Amino acid sequence: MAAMHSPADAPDKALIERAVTGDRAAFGALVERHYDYVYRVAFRWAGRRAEAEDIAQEVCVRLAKALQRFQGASAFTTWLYALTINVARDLARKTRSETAKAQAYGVHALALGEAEDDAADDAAGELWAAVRRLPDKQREAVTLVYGEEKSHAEAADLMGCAEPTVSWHIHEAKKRLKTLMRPAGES
Amino acid sequence: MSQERDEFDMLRGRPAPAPRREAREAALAAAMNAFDEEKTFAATQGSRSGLRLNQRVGAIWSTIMNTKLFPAPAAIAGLLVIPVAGYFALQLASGVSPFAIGGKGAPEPKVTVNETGGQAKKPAQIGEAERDLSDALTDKAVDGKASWNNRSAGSSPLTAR
Repeated sequence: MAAMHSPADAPDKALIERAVTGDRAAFGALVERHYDYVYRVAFRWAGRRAEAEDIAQEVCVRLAKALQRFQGASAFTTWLYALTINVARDLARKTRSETAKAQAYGVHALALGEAEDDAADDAAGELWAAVRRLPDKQREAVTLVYGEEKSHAEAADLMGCAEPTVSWHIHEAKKRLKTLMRPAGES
Repeated sequence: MSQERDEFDMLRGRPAPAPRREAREAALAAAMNAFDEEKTFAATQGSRSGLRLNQRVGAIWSTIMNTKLFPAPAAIAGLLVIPVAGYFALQLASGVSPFAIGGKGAPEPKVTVNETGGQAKKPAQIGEAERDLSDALTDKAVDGKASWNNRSAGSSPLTAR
């Protein structure tokens, strides 16, 4: 039945099955279909367009190999989300030493005229910038629940933890952000 | 209650800027290159599914690990194991082999027989004997103290003065 669909119309499952057996067109259609989703997740995570594009490209490359490990136990987008976050973390780890040398990437980027796209030009931008300074799990929970507008249950599924854990991460994130967002000098 | 204002609500609905066209095309081209490279060595020859043996094993292992185990089998196993373990523990604590049937394996309690061949003393007799011994010791102690006092009376430097 799956063979009756053209790659553009075929459901994800059929495309994956075909891609795993070596169908180039199916793989291309799959990547093209989900590129925007991957980019959007990467942008929410990184906050910069250039960085998000790098992450998205790396995800597309890794997908060629990782696709064989996809078991179909969860939705493809759920699995793809986890892959994107892993790639984002890996790239962040790689650039951390360079970031440290340049004092902070933001300073470095501003010096190059490549300011954060989601820049602190308004309250929401400032808040997003602060969210990106949170510990990974809190950042991920906030990004999923507020950025991707997922329910706590869906976020828990994506993060591979229990629903109350997501709520706890959100609660902790709010506490920490209140401190981060407090103007200097205010106790 | 749910009317409470959420300070994070401003994070919602903030669209991400669209990716640049050239970045998108570069990503797709890189993905296709990676796919071609992967295909040249990943596919097995002569196997229908195209998976290598270690990939099949990995898939089976992953399936097992991802299978959610329900608590019922564990509870049933626990209910069976606990009485057996309890029986063994009780038998071992009482010094009896848990495998002994009908108490045959139980060691006979040792009974000490008096050296003279007579019967063991009754508790009342034992108490009487202890009392006699204690009286004898007290008398001896009193006698000893008196004789010491008498002996030391003449030689003490204090009494000599």
